Amino acid sequence: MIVRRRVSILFLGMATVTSLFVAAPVYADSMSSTSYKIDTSVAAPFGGQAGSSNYKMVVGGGEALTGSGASTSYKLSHGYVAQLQQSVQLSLTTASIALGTLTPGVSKTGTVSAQVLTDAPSYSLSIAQNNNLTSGINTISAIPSGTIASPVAWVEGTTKGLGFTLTAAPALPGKWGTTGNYGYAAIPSATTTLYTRSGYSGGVQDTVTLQPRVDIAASQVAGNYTNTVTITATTIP
Amino acid sequence: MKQYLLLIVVAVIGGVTLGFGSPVGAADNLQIRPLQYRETLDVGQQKKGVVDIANGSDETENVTLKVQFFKQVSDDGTLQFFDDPDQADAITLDVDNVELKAKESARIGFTVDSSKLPQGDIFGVIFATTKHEDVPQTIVPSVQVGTLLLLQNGMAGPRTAAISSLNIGLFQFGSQIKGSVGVKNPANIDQATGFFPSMQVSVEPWGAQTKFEGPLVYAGRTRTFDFSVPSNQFGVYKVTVSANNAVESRYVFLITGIWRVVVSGVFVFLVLLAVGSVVVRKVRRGRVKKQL
Repeated sequence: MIVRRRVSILFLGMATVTSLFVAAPVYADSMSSTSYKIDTSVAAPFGGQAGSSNYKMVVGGGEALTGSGASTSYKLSHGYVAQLQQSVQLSLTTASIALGTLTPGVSKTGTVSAQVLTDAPSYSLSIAQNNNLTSGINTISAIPSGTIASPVAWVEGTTKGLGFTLTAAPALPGKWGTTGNYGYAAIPSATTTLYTRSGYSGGVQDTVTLQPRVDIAASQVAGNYTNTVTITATTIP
Repeated sequence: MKQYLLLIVVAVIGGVTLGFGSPVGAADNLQIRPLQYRETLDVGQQKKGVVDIANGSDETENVTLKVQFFKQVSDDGTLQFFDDPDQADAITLDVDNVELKAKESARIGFTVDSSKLPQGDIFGVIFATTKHEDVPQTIVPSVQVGTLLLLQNGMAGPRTAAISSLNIGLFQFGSQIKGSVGVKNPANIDQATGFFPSMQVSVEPWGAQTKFEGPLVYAGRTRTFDFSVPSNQFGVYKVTVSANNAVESRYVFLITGIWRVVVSGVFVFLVLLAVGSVVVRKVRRGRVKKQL
């Protein structure tokens, strides 16, 4: 009796060990990934004609089709919908950034948030300014050190010029620092990526908060300074 | 010296002001679709497309449109946009500005003339930008959204890929085989070429093949991305990942899908069996001792 039980246990053990090294049939499903998800409605938006849920260019023939006479452009006066498919929407929380009257040695900050809503698998935000803050022939330069690639801490009373930092974003990169110790970068004249997000946001609007900061030298000529800062959103292919 | 002092006095008393101007209006809100076009053009062919632009703000917006080009400048996919005068008239917009009232949208046509583009891969972008007048004492923010144009003009650029890294856990327990792969485009970084690698993950033996498309890999760049293949397997398998012509394999031990339950059940059964046999043996030894 005891011998029989030992044989049974031995048999079960051998069967288990054997099954560990014997490959079993496969039942594979579709592909998915946390950072790169295949969604034919987004990744391959070229399966149909314009106007459908997919987009495809059409052959234009041998003649020039541009110009108002042959223009296909038109307004969809009531065509706005809250969120178009295969789109990116960028909105700002303010129409102007108020930094107030500046006193040399005392920096001023403002805030503007960029809100992104997209069904893109990933997107980027970029920034550029049209020129330095300008009043007539006078300008306030960008801060001399600190780039988007490598922001630097603001030294009150020492750092002069216009810079900016990111104070909030989904998965804010560490290079931008934390409250009280933010890193600042000059606003470039060429469109430069300042934030990227990988992976679908799942229909949730992302908010990325920018904080411009400016201080002036004592020799700065008085005036009403202004410039335009452009925030850009595109998908990342 | 006097002039310098005067400047200081003017600066302190007169003040440098930013932000006291009258409000510019409602904050900008712009939407564009599609996210991207991917097209192949024959040499000399013209193709037309459209982009839809919507003004989501409560104010009328002047929107300007322009065409630029881009290249990938880092391995995380970051793009750099630039003007290219040589190709400026190859992609033309029907209009270069449009006024959109609140909640209004417009469909803007554009034409790509391949005869004015170099053969190979073309990376363009159509930008729509809100336009504002400079307002004194204010930093004026504007928004810009873009549709990418990923075009192949005639013969494609080089499509050679290299797998620079492949990380798959040696032991996979779950519902999927997970890993990450780095795909490099070995073309010279100065070349304006790039491709979306054709990826394939196969599991051998008796494995399925899963195909998908990787992200854009520009010349000289490496894109690393995760993948996960649903799996229902048990045992040692060879997982092979290919990107275009490049192939890399790893051996992994899989307990996935229903086999998680089976193996767990067998393990629990064996443990109970072992415990039971020990208990029975002790009880019997106790009886033998009592009999003695």
